[in-house]
Amino acid sequence: MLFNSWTFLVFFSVVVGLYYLLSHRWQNRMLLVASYFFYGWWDWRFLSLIFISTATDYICGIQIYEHQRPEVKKRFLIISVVVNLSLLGFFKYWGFFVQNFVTLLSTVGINANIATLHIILPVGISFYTFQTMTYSIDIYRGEIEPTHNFFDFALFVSFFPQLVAGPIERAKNLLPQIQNDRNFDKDQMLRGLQLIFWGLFKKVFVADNLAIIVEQVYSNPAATGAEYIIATWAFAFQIYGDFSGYSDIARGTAKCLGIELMVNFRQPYFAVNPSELWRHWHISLSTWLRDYLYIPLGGNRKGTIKTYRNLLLTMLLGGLWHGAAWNFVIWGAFHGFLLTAHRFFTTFKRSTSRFGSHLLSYMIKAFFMFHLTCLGWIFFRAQTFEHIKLIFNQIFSGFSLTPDSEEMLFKVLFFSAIPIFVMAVETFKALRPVLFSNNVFLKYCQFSNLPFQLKNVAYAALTYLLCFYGAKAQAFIYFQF
Amino acid sequence: MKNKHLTLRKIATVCISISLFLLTLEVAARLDDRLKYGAPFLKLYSPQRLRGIDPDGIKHNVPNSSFEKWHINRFGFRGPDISLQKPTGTIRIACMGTSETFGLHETPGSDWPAQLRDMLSISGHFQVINASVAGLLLKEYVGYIDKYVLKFQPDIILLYINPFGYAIGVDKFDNRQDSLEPQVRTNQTKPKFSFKSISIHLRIVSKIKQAIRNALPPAILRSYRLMNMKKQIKWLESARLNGNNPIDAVSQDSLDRFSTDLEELLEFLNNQHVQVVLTSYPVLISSSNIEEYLEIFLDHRRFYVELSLLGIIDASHKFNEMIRNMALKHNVTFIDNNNKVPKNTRYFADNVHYTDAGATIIAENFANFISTNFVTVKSLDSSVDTM
Repeated sequence: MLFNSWTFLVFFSVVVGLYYLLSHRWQNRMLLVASYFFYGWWDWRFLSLIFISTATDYICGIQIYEHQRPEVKKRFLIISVVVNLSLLGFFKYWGFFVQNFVTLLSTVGINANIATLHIILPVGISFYTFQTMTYSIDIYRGEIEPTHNFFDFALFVSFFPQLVAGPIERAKNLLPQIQNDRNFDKDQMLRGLQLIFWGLFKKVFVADNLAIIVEQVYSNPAATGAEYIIATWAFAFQIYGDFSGYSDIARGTAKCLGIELMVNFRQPYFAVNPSELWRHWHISLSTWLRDYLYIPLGGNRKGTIKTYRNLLLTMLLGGLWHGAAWNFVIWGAFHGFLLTAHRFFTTFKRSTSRFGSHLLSYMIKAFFMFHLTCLGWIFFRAQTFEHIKLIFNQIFSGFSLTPDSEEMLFKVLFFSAIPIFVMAVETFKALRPVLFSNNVFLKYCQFSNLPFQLKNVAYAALTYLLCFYGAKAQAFIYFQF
Repeated sequence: MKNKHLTLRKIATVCISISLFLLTLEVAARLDDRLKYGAPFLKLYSPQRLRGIDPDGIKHNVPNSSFEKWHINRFGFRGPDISLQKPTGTIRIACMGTSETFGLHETPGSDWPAQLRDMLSISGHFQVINASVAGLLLKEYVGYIDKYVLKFQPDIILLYINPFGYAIGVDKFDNRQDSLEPQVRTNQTKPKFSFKSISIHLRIVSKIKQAIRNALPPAILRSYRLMNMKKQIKWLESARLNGNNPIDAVSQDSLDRFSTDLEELLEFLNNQHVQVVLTSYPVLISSSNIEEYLEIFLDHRRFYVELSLLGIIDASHKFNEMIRNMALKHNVTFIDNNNKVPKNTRYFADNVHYTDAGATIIAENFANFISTNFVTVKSLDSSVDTM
């Protein structure tokens, strides 16, 4: 069931309609049933995986909390991690590892015939397994207490707005909200609907339109270098519109149900360095990787070399989390390398320069960082090594601007102009908050500061673009992860 | 009192908000039309701007006019500009017809005359003119061809005649068309304001309708259309049939009138020494697929509510038979397109108009005939010219 479908509209209307008629206890039960229904709409058989993950962590969580001996606590934590990672490993990575193992054997002259089983990837498995694990780990760390209400916990794991593509929530944020009473709040409902609208706009108008351009170029081996560059810019905004759009719809949907989910994106393309990029892009994953992988590996507390190793390893696994394919591994490694290089240079730079204080230098750095990010997107979007090679060959040898590529560039600018403007305003506001309160023009550049009727006009204009320039509904990119 | 004041204020705010929202949508629609099609921002923008009636009372396309995907050239034809004088050694083909020939649902450049132009362009001997006018009746062909087409010295005229207007009596149908399209008749005067005309003036209305049609799941859309059509048909039947049942067979009077007008046209063209090609009139609906395309049938029947299903099928058979017989009688080439276009929605966008694929079949049928019968003649002509 896609967020951008009529089916979801009907489903959500029914859920919200019933929700506020019920008592807290029945609200949770109804949401649980709705969440299982929502997931089962794709493939009901995979509900069993969610149930296994839920039951495991529910039991492990209680056992970790109730046992006093550290080795017993650890044993239950290991059970939780192993069960979740086994589910993820088998359903997502089995085929990938077997295939690469067979290739490796064949290079040394051994012809192995191991079944890859052609396993279907269950939607959202990377998201809910990571989310469930945080529960057991946080109990083990003594950060939260377990819940004894199985239904509440099952709802925490399967809460439909964020079940299939995040944000990856932490138990300490989501679980208390599920356990507490939630009453109808008009303002929260309105903010939720606004977020849903904005998310839909980013998905249907920005991402799905840019997807057409990206597909047209990336599936054409004869595309020129200029076309690849433009299509990569398009992909940068496609994936941003797609994923941040999904996150906004998820947050908006949850808000309508009285639940606050974490912010997943904060103007990522105005980041000025790799470290900032990962604090603004897919925040729920990057903080997950930081808290449950990078820091346990030692973080930056065990010397420079180990810090670099930890950064590289974290990003490598972060890349692999996105998909069982080498291009994702390369993409992760690329970002690991960027983070390492940035760490190296910042250590060096701190004592020599205060370059970052000027707006112009900020913009130059953001521009440079955006293009480094785009470089990474080439690895992410390309299908094979040969494809990556072809793209770089074309960019560096077959670069020519044709009328077709100029038209393409115009389209990319048209479809990405609004998110760029919004990101720019938000970034500028964060940089120069005083200017935003003193300058009338700048003040009204920010949507939340607009007078009510001007907001109304803006919504009408966006509605027009959404209805008459929105592309046909397509699945969200992050569903495949 | 204070509460009442607050409530009134709230109501006023809601009304203003809704009005402002709709106004913005309308402005956006007008800006969009302006940027996309060069449409006027304030004036009425409807398909009627493509057609007009001249001082002699002849319907024609308005030269240099355009509406959305439709563009009329400086001589009043759909398609690229041509010279008044026929280039030496060129065979000019004029495609005469109504909306099926003019092109309605096809993508730009895919109406059958445009496709025929592309198909014949390889040889370099032919020039195809789309001389059709949407809504033109057979009885009006002579006047229109005489005034607007013959000056281009066409060698061949392909006649694709819509006979359905005659099925319920051509004069009755003509009057009804006029009442449906007041702008055509009163081109010079401003249309009067009415609530019905709001939807004509507000561009956002048709755009929203189209967006809903595109967004709705096909099954829901079909059910809605069926329900809507049935309601309309019921209303039309009560307004036009005066309690009588719709007729199952087209009247002899109607057939005779059609026959007379067609004969007059063929004789006129014969006197002008123009080679004529006649075609049958393809329709989607037959007794075997009526259930499958019920909403399309009902949509078509709205215009001929005096005819029942049997009546419409009967009209199609009888008029097509009459066109064939007339072609035989006048020794005119006849192409039976009705039997060549498969009866399904891959080829038909509604009961009588084509999709791109349907238009391709029509164009191919004409192209096959023309290229096999006229290339030799043309080659001879050219050789004479060069000598």
